Amino acid sequence: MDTSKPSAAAAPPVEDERVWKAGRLEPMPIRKLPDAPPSVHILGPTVFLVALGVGMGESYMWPRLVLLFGPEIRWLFLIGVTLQAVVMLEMARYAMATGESIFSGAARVFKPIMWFFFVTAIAVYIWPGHLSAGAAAFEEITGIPWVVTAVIGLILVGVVFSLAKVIYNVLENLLSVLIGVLVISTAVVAAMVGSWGDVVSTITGMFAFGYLPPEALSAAWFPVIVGACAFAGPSGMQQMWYTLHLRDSGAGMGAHIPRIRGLRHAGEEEAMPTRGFMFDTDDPAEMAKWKGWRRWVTFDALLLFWGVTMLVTISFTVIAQAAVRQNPGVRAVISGDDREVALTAMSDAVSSAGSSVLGVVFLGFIALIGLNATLGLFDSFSRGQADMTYNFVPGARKRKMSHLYAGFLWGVIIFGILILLFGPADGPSGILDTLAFLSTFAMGAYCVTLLLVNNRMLPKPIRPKWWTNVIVGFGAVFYLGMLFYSLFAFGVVVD
Amino acid sequence: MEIRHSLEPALPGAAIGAVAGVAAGGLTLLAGQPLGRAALSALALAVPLALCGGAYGLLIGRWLFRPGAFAPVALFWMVAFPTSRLIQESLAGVGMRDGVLLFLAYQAMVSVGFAIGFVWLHERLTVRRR
Repeated sequence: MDTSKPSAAAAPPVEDERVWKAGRLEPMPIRKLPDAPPSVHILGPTVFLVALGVGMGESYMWPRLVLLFGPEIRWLFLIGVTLQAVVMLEMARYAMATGESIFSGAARVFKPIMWFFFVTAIAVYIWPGHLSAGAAAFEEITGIPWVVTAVIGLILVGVVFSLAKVIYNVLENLLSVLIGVLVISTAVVAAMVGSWGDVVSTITGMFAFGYLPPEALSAAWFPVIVGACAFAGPSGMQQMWYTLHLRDSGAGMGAHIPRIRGLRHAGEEEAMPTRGFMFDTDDPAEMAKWKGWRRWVTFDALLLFWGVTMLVTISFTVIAQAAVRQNPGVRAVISGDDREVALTAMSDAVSSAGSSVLGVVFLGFIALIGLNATLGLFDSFSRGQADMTYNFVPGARKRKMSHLYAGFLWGVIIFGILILLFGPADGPSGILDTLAFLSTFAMGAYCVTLLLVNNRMLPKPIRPKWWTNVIVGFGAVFYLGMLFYSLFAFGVVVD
Repeated sequence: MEIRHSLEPALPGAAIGAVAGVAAGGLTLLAGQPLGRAALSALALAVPLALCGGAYGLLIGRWLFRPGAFAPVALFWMVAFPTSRLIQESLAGVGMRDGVLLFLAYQAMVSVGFAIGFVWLHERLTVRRR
C-alpha cells in the first residue's frame, strides 16, 4: 500500500500516523474499518435510492411505452436498471472505502469535474417541476389546487428537515414506511387486477434484446425512449447523492464522519473533517471486514434496489395492460404528449378495469411517489451542494455543514415557491432542452468519473474488477451514445 | 398475561397483513359493489394475511427465519399469499379468468413483491418497538 508519514504538526497524537495519498488533495489518514452489519440488513441507505429512483419512469414512462410498442420494448428497461445496480455498487465502493462523497473523489481526480456537477445540480434541480405530477394527482383525488399542495409540501419539507435532530434518521424512517406501503399496496393491487398472461408477457418482453419497432426510431418517439432509459431507476445525479447517504448512515469508513444535523440542533454537530479516511488494505482482517461491507451493499443493490424497482414497474405495467384490455380506446390517449392527461387516462382506465377506487389508488400511488421524490430530492440536493461548498469553496468551513445544508435547502424551497407562484415550474422554456440534455449527460459523465475515481484513487486491493469496469464503461457509451444519437439523428435531445 | 406476552411478536406482522388486506378489500368498496360485499372482500383477504403475518412474527428466530434474511420470508409468502388470495376469491371474488392453477401461479409470482414490502415494513416496525 502506498502510504507515507504526514508532517508531525498535522499528525494526531495517538492515532495511526499513516496516510493514503489520493490525487493532489489532502491525504487520507489510516483508520480502522468498522465491522460490517452481522446479518443481511434489510434497511439502509438504499431506501433513498429506491425512493428517488422509483418515480415517473416506473409508474408512467415504461407502462406507456409497453402499451405503445409492446412488452418487448422492456429489454431496454432491464439493461437500464441492471446498469444502475452496478453503478450503485461502484458508487458505494468509493464512499464506503473513504467516507468521502463521489464529488470529493471527482475533485481528487480533477477539480473542474466536481464543479461541473455542482453547476449541473443547480441548473437541473432548482426547478420545482418534479412536484407537479404528484401534486396534480393529489388534486385529482381531493380537488385541492396542485400549486397549493406543492407550496405547502415545500414548506413542510423545509420545517421537518430543519427541526430534525439527525436528518438522516428522520428521512430514513419516513421514506422506509412510505416505500413499504407503496410496495405492499402495488403488489396487492397487481394481484387483484392482473393475470398470469400479463406478467408473463411483461417479463418475457424483458429478454427481447434488440427489439426496436420502426416507429420507435422516429423523431417523435426515439427521444422519449432515451428519456425513459435515463429514468429507469435513479436518474440524473441521484446515484452521486447516494454516496452522501451512505456516508451519513455510517456505512464503511463513513462511520468516522459526523452526521449532518437539522438547523435547530446544528450547535451539537461535531467538527466535520476536511477529508475522508482509508483503512489498511494490507491487513487481512481489515480486508475480511471490507468483504462483509461489499456483501451488505450487494444485497441492497440486488434485492432492494433492483428487486423493488423491477417489482413496481412490472406491477404498474400489469395494471396498465389490464386497463387497456378493458378499454382499448385509452391506448390513443396514453400515446399523447401531455403527462397529466395521460396519467388521468391511465387512472380512468384502471378504474374501469377494476373499480372507481382503483383509479384513486393509482393516483394515490403517483402522489406518494411524488412525495417520496420530493423529500429525497430536496434533501439530496442540499446535502450534495453543502458537501461541495464546505470542502471546496474558500472560507466556507467557517460555517457548520448543517448551516450550509439549511442554506441550500431553504434557498431551493424559497426559489421553488416563487417559481411555482410566478414562473414556469419546469424552468424557462428556452432552456428546457438544455436541462434535459444536462440531466442525461450527467449520467454518462458520472460513469466516466466513477471509472477514474475508483481505478486511480483507491488502493489496488479494493479497486473494481475488470468486468465491472467494462459494465460501467458500457454505461457511459449507453447514456452518451443514445443522447448524442438522438441529438444528431433527430435534432431532439430527450423527452 | 403470559399468553399476551408470547403473542406480542406476532403483532407487527399481523398489523401489516391486516392493513394490506383491508386496503385491497377497500378497493372494491367504491366499485359499485354493495357495502356488505366490499366488507366481505376486505375481511376475506385481511384475516388470512393478518394470520399469516402474525405467524411469521412468531416464527422469527426459529428454523430458517432469521431477522432480515429474505429467502425464507419469500418462500413463506409464496405459499401464504396465494392461499390468502384463493380464500378471498372463493368467498368474495369475481371468478378466476385463467383457472385455479394459473391463478395460483400468478399470485405466487406477485407474492415475491409482497414479501419484499412485508419484510421491509416488518423490520421497521420491529425496530421501532424495541
